[in-house]
Amino acid sequence: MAIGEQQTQEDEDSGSEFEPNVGWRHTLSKIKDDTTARFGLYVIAIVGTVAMVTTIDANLSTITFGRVENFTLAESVWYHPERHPDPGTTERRMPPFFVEGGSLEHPLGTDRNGRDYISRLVYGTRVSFFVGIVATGLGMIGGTIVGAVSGYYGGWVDDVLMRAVETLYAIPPLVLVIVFTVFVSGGDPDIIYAVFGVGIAFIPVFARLIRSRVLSVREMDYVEAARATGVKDRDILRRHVIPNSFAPVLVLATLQIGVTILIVAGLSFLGYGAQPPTPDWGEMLRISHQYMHSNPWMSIWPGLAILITIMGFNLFGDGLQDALDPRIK
Amino acid sequence: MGLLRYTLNRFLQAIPVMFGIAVITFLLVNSMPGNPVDVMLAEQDASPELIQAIEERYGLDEPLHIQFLNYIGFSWFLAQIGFPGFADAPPGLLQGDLGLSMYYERPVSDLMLTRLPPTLLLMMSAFAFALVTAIPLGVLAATRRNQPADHVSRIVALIGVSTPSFWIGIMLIILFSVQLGWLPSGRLVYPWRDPSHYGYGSTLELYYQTVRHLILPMIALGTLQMATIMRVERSSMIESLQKEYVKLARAYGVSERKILRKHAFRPSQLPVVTLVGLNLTSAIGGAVLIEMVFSINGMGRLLIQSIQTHDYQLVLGTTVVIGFVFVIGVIITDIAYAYIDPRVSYGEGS
Amino acid sequence: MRRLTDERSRITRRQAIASGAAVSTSLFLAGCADDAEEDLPDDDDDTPDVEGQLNITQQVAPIEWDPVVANDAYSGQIYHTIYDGLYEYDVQTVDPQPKIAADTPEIERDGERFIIPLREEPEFHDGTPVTAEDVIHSFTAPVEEQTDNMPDFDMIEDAEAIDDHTVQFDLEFPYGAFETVTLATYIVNAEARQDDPEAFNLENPIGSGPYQFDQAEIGEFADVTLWEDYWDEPSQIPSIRWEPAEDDAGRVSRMLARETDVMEGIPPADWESIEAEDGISIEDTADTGVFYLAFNCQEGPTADPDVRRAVAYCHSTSAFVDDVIGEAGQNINYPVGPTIAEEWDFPVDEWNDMEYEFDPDRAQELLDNSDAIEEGDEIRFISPPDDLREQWCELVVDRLNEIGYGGRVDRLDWDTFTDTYQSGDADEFNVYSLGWTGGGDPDVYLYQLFHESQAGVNQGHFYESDEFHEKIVQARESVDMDERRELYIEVIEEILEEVVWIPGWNTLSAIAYDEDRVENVLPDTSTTTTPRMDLPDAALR
Repeated sequence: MAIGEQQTQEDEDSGSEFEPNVGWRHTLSKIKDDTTARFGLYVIAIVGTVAMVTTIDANLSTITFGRVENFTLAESVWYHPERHPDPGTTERRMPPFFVEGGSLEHPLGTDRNGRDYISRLVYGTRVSFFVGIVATGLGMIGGTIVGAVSGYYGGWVDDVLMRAVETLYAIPPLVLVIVFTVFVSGGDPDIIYAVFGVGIAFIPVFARLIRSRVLSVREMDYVEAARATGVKDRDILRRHVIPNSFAPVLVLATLQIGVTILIVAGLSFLGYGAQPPTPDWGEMLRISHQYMHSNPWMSIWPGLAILITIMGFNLFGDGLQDALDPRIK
Repeated sequence: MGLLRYTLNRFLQAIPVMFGIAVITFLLVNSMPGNPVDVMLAEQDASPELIQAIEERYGLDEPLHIQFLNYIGFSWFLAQIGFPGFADAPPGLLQGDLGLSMYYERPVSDLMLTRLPPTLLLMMSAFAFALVTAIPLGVLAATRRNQPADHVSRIVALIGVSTPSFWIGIMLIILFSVQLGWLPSGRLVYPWRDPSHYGYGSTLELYYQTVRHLILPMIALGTLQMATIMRVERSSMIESLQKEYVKLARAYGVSERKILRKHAFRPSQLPVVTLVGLNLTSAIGGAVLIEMVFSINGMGRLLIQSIQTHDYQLVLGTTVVIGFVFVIGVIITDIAYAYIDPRVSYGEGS
Repeated sequence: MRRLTDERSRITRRQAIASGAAVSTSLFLAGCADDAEEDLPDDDDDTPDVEGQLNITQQVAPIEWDPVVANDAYSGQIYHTIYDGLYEYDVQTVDPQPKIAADTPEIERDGERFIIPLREEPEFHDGTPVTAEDVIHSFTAPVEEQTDNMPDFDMIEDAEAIDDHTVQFDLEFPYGAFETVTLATYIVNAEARQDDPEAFNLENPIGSGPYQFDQAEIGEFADVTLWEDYWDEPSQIPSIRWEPAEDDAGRVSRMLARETDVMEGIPPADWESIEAEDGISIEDTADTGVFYLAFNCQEGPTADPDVRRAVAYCHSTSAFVDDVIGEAGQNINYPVGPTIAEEWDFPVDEWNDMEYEFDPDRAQELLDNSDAIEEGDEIRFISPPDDLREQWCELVVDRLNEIGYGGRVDRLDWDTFTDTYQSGDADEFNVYSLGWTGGGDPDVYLYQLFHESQAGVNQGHFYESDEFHEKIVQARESVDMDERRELYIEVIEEILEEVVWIPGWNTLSAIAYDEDRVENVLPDTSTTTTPRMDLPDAALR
């Protein structure tokens, strides 16, 4: 094996610790006792709720991260995240309220077009949260299929698939996603290309994990027995191998969501992610970067939002991992 | 099998991966609709001869599969053995020729030569920073498990893995360059240049300036690495400290320091080495962003500029070289792993 | 000469990118500038200067040095010190004066023939004299080699050397801007260039200008040194180094930290704080540029003039410009540079009053009554990767959303952007936002940006109307100033009434400089020659 062979071995080591019957319930109860994991879960729940509510509010039909048209809720409670103030009524790039020149009307100030910063932050949650989950999910599905097929059939299938996976792994995800987004979209980038790009870029991580699980499960007695009684390969995969790998995949997926959010923020920072006027954290950082001298506050908030969200997923992922793999705590 | 043969073997195994990288990037870049020549001649009513001349210059007058054979330099070999139809095939990847950049009108490989060193400098210093901070902190956390030092280092690690590196960079610039004015906000001073180029009096001053310019981007890029390494170091140390032979040593009254140094530390470094290898991809990805934030003329910035200008050959070239850098980096860490771990029999790779 | 490039400012791949950043000047902040910069260290010890070297920070990295081939303003900033023009503009004017030429041209055959005497003294850096052959080569090579600059010269039918120091050009038609624009072309050393064009372009350019090319590394620096044997009045600065800093914030940091002596490309947002900084001054002058929104008049909803009017009504361009560009420019409601408008005595006040006021109700009414658009339809804006123009599009789109009509902004890379607007395809775009830096003649704006022959080339609005295009050509091929003026006024008023464009603003050409280091370094009307480095009184302290 070429790249990351030790990692695969590590995976196998830790993989063998998962007993097929360590129940889901058991994991949950462990998480309940783990303060940090619980904290992570709360963060995810809050961010998720915000994302959900704002998406429903923004427009049910735009769950595809497309253009946002209505902001009923935001408007009734707070400020329309895309509404520009009438000419001459609000200042552009106001600082937060605790700095001279700020006001409580816009607690975190306004953006370059005089739009309320808080409401743009809140509505920006949607892109990060859903892209994080959907793109990781795509990678998980793709990786599971590749890894399962590769591990189960072995031989030349395994060889070919694993070479392909290694190749994909060798191109840094961000680079792969940028090139994918720009060139496949024909120069008109959109966040949806980024979703697929990340999905493809994550196939290797998941494929590796699943493959190592398959290799270890395949050797188990009950699978041998099933095969001896004539159960089809596909059914063995479906009934025994994949369910048994679910827990570690979930851990990995939770942690990868954080990575996805990082990548997508980087992509938007470079101008190839969400397109204006869609509110998005990475995009906000891209724009505020130019105002580092005139208003440094604008750079702080979107970064904090990203940090908190990713931290939620990481805390929860770590908690899951500890619950499933109690060796180290 | 000796270390040398192992090394050779690893390089051989990497060949299909390198080939795969070229295939994937080539396909991606060519998935773009439209002909690059049209893009180049955007607004001119160019004559057919000119179009043809440009197509020939950049090798775009061939069908895609031939373009690929040309690109990787296979055609060149065919030409050398006189294979019909490949009479004047240009040298390609295998011959170290990455084609001609349309935007810069210079050979891509020339651009690589000036852009790769800053990136390597940045990445190496980031990893150095990460290792130097993470290993002691990880060991400290492991030995003071569940004590304040442990908690602090875990929180630092958590924040480290959760923060976008480019945002750390922006924050550092705002704080240390814009507000305090202590450190420069961008560009690097290259230690391989002559000091007089920058107007510095001595080599020593040149190095001092190199370091000053390197500090902020190094921290920004190294934080994520530091955090992941620290986590692995900690858990791997804890694991080592629970091993039977450590307990035995302790029972024999061997001092904690000695146990740490002699028995626990070295085996704990294996996962760290692996991690460094695997993290190379995220580090390269991070370097792209850091180079943009700090205006460092490395591979990442070149990649973004080539994408912005739709400079096909250059996008291809930079991506392929970035992939190669990663592959070679992994090989190096694998070798380091084999070197550190006496248990690895060099043959098991295949 | 230098002007050529950005005078015409064709949106070729490189020029486009260049002009993008030229304008990526972000915005001006009304009142929120904080005092952060005051904490920056003043000229401290860790930014030493190379002895006798002036340091200039550019907003885009230059790439090549042969004016026959090069077509971007930032390479121009460097090579305008290496070459002399046949004619050159006086600083901060659009008034060409003889340089290599000994006198003003003799014009014959109703403006179809130009006879130009050359000076005897100019010499190239390799010691050879500048001859008629060099001049002819400089004017004919762009067409022969079909370089990006070809369109600037393709009206030349024939160029001939009457003797070693007299050149004669014959034109295909009397071209009004030949004297004011085309004759200001840099003269290259024909022999050296033909020997090895590639080396000439990248490593060893040879001109007859006050500076000699020294060395350069793309994206890092470009150095020139004073040429001791310059035939004309020499400059006083021994050597100049240009360094690019593409990122606005980074460029400003360099200036505030005195890591550079001069900086061009001042972001509007940072204008105030740079000006407030002790020891740093800003010099500015009028520029020839104009930024605009142009509509797809051929297909889609914006083919209906009422939809275009509605877009104009739904936001306030002047308020946007005042807020965002601030001191760094001015709002203009006509499609030529303000300096030109002044020179031609165009009724600019009247035109500025023709601006569509912010009136969302009127906009909504127009859209509701139009058959070309349904409520909820999207109007698609495309913007180049430039913050200001993107911001403008974003504002208009958000306003459209507010009155119940959708819109989206696609921020495209330059190549895709150019391809898209040239296509005229309403599925790809309805409105595009672009800028143009013209030159000393209205023709450079009106012919290039509105004539039908330029549709799918320089313009993507494909606007058609009965006599519109005839008037433009008539004005182009006339030598009667009054007749041309009348024609241009009619053309411009039609543009405003039919809303082919929403003109936006003109930016100032400006530099910031370190008062302790630099004296008499001036910005010019064109980005290509800013700062103007061939002037004898510019000095380094």
